[in-house]
Amino acid sequence: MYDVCIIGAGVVGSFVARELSKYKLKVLILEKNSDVCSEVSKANSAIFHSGYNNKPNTIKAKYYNRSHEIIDQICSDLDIEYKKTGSLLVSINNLGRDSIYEKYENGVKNNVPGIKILQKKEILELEPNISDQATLALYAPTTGIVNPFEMTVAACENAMENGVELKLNCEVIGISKNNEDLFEIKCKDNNKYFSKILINCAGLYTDKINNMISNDKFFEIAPKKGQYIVLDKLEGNIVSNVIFMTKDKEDKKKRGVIVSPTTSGNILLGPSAEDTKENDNTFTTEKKLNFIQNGAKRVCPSINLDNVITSFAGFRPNANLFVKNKDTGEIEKEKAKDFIVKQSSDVAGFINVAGIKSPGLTCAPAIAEDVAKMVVEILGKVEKNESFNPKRKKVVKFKNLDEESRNEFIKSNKSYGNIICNCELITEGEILDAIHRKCGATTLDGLKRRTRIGMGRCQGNFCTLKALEIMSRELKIPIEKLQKSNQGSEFFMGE
Amino acid sequence: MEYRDLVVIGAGASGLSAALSAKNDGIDDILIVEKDDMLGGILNQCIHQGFGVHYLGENLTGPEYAQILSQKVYQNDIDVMLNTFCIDISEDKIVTLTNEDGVHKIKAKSVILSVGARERHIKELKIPGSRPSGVYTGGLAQQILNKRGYKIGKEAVILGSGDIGLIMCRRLILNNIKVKAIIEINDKIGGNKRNFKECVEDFDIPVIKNSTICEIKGTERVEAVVVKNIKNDEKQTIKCDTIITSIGLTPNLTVPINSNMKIDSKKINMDKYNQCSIEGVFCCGNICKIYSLVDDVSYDGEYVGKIASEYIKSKKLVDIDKVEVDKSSIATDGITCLICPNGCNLKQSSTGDIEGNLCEKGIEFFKDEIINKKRSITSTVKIKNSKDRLPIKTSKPLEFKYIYEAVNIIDNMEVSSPVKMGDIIIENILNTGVNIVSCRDI
Repeated sequence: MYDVCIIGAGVVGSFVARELSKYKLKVLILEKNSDVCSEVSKANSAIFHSGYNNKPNTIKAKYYNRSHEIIDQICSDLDIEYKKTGSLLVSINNLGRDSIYEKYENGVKNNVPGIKILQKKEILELEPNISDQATLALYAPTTGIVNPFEMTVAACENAMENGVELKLNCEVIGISKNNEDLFEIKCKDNNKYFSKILINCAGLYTDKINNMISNDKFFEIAPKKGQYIVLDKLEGNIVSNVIFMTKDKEDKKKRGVIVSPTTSGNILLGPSAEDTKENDNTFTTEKKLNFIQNGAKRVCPSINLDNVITSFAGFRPNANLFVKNKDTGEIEKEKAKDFIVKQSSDVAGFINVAGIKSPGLTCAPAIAEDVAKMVVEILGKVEKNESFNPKRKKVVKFKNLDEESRNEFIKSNKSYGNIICNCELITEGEILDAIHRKCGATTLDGLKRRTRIGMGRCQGNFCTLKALEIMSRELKIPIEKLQKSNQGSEFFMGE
Repeated sequence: MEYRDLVVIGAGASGLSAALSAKNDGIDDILIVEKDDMLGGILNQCIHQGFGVHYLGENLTGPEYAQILSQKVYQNDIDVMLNTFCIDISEDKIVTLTNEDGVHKIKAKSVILSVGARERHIKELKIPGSRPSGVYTGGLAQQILNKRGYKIGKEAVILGSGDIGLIMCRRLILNNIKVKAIIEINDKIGGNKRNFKECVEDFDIPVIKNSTICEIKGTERVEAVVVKNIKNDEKQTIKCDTIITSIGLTPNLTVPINSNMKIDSKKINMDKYNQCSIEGVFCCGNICKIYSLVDDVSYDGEYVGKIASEYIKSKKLVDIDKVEVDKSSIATDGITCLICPNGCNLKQSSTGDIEGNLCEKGIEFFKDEIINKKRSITSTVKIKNSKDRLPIKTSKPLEFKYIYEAVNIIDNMEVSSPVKMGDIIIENILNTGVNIVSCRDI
């Protein structure tokens, strides 16, 4: 029996778990995928926004401001790479010029530090590769970039170090309350878990989870797909700020794209915005990839699109609310403008954390604080976990060490002298660390995201087999059973 | 700090040939650095035949070619560091290496960079769709099948009809993997005619020309590919669980990039002496340009070995004649004879006579290949108590009708070390008079 069960190990679920591990509570996270951070949290623009978009008096704005107060400390405690790159919202050919002034004013209201409006000359001084058609821009120096996977895995690992349990490959298929007023959570593998409090952090599936237990079916998730393109590090210096483009209010086809540096030194282009019903199919399409490339060319004409490494897609978990029309009395759908973070109206102890779209990554730590507060209130007296350790150290990156440290690492553990991934210079030592620590890698994609193995120029042609053999040996799993990601993605076939 | 006259980085065909040529030119203080646990580089996973007719005067498998060069390296007492990775080369030619003993710095008078190429991968084609498992480059598939023997899939589609694509086609079929089609973007086959005949035509595999994969389907594992004809935009869906790509090689630029060497649009910047932007650092083999014959890679290595030797001795760059296989000798419409370096282009005339041969052996070769349909086969066998496999070949061509049965026998056997290159593993297989022999020492 658990005090708290969290459904979903995305960035929100993982930060909620970490926050709860500050108390003497028995906490369980159930994740349906083979790894944490497998859906919404994984595939997004990876940006910490500066806040000029937030509407005042929303919980979004509240979480937003709180996150900005604590984020430096959290990133330092959890050893998360967070680069304050700054951002430019650029108007090309005066397109959407008015919105720059609007957002500037909104930013001033929201106390966004350092924002200013730049003219053509100043834009080019800051970003020489931006189109000379850029006539006006909004500069926000506090915009930053993170690696969302690192952020999630760091929070989850630290939560687990402090006693939280994580169960992967556990899809929740039914929830009820038993005679003792405990949640009875049934998983696809027939296991059942019991808890006093249930927190729904299921991202794209938060509506499904809510509807399993609550009669108050007040929202649905209407996912919006976003496709992205990643460019080689050779293109990494094309911009140093995150570049947004203003959009044309009339002509949706002229929607802008983001051209952003990433923490790993690549360039990220995207996203598209597509309504979709299939929220498990992250395929990319020729049409949208062309749209992204054209958008990027418009803002950075000199960008070399031959340096594409990969493309991917993710989903924004946008929510619709069902609201009664005051005049007609009919139930109508309206787009949720704010996050949903509240206890269910009809099921005590059931908390929905839903519709966490942009800037969800930025807000996750503050949402987690708030949810933990709710849990403590519901449970009444909860003791603090005196032995809570807020610190976590990331897998050492051999590539980033100086020569003396490299030597020391190899002398103390010779596996650091065995380079497995040539392009990214990843050692066997890093692989072993990423496999054996809490919330460690159990799939090749999981290993890639924790170490960057196979994410360089050759995309794993040289190292895939070596990596699989190490995983097979260390996890004691036959090589035919090893998966790329979820079940069904095995690399080799048994006889 | 250790000092060396010459450090050769990468021990594939070009690096080994370069080291041997420098040694031959009187340079004694040579170190070869190799990231793998044996010399030979990619040759070791290319178990098929067709290597060395020009450079070594024999039609060899990749592992045999590798072993012959490696043996010469060891016989010449050239120092070798295996399992060692080169991180970078500094402006003053200090080579930084790392292995399980630590980080090593070696100051060299000259460096030869022979780190080869990498395969272009499917993501570079910007093919939209999902990103499931089951997509392998030809080279990765070779590692998996030839070096380990893991079963890679059940039904495959091959993208690209270059030689690697064709050779992998036969390899998959002999491994009981069904090849549904080869997709080729041009209107003609990329690889040579003999490979096409023996790897594709022999097995009736359809080639879809003027076409490419325009979408990959499948969430976890590949389920199908959508193939589009680029001339008329017609699409067809082919079900498969595996995609093997053979879409070309591109120089492996990791060391040059880490060393801040000059690069011009995915190519290393070098002068006519193959010297790159750091003085005294020379490149050879596939890092310079993508060669179609390993023999030419070795010739390039020899050439650069001589230039580096002169540079070490006199600090001067000297003009040296460069050998390259005459491209006109490579058959475009006939079959290249592999008996000797002449590489005659053999054809059958309308009257049935065999033409193009310089000697009688060519007639025999042509008869075996085309009329009697005899085929050499290569494969690997399990080595007892090891995850490695031993490359093997038939001692002479086998009648085509026997090859499935022969491969089945080979697949189900196991050998114990030690074995020498040329040792008979199976004598007189299926009473055909053909032996199965080892292609390297273990």
